[in-house]
Amino acid sequence: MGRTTAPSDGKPAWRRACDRAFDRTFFAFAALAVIGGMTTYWLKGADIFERSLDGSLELLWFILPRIGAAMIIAAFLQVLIPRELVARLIGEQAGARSVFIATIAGALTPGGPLTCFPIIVALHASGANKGALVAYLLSWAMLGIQRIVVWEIPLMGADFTILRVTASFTLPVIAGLIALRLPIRIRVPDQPGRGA
Amino acid sequence: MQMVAIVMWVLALGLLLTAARRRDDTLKGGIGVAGGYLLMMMPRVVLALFLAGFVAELLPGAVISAWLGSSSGFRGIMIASVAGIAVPAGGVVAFPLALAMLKIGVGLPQLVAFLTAWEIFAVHRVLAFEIPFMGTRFVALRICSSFMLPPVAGMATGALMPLLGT
Repeated sequence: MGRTTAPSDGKPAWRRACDRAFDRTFFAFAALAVIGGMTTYWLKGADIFERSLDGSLELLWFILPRIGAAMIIAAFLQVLIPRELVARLIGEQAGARSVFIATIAGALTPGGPLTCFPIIVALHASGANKGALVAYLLSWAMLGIQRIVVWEIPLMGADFTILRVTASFTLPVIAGLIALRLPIRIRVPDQPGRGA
Repeated sequence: MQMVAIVMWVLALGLLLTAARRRDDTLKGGIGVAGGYLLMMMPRVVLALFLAGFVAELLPGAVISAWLGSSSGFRGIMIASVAGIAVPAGGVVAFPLALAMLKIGVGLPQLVAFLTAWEIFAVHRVLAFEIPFMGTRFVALRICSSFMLPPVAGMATGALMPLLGT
């Protein structure tokens, strides 16, 4: 009510958030879950269907206390980490050092591809080398904090997550160092609305 | 295992305090973003759990654990790496699949190889974001420098398991 930031469509912020949360993907996914449940009931019988429901409910109670914390961690990392600073830091370094810093920055980048790719374009524009760009993208994809706190720890468990992260945390650096030496010159397309 | 929940809440409260000490809009902004995530992710995580439960019952468990069980070794890691490439969707599909695989007894090295392959190749992400933003040469460079990482991650997992006691 009376908030100057509200866009002109007149809907309050929570309504717009609901529209985003319950979008087509959500309903497609819900339909998939219902089909999965019906197929299980039909093919495997009521006992197995109930066993599956019980198992899922048990896991849900187990992970519920973690999800609130997960969302707070993901959200506050996003508002607290100054992106321009990170971009400058990676752009200023050369060679292996930039690959290393890019790996750390990629893991700490919260958000989906809509956050990550504009940052990579900005990194490229601020002079980051191709090894750092490759390391950044891979680190975000393999070690990204948001995917780990939102999906992996709640669903797969902390033990599995620790095992996987320990096994993979050096890999973006290795790939970045390989990329530095590969004879492929990258050519980034002009971004719409950025001006060449 | 409640240790994990405690550590996560300590970390969350620490971040909240850090934001609160800024005395600007950081705290308010962060709470808004967190509320948005909660509204966005919570229904999806709940659906993902139930879907994973059903998929675990429906997948041919015996066949899959013969191919990808902990005794499937390097061959299983290679098969899992190729299977991971073929998941053209986000975490909302990949993690329920991974959880279902964990439930039916897929080995941890094989599971790590599967997830790593999905994270690296993510066909939907390459087509929708990486090519438009960075161009095909960047994609070629990135794939050339990372295509071997899923089996490497799987084998590293196998080597680490005795050390971490899992």
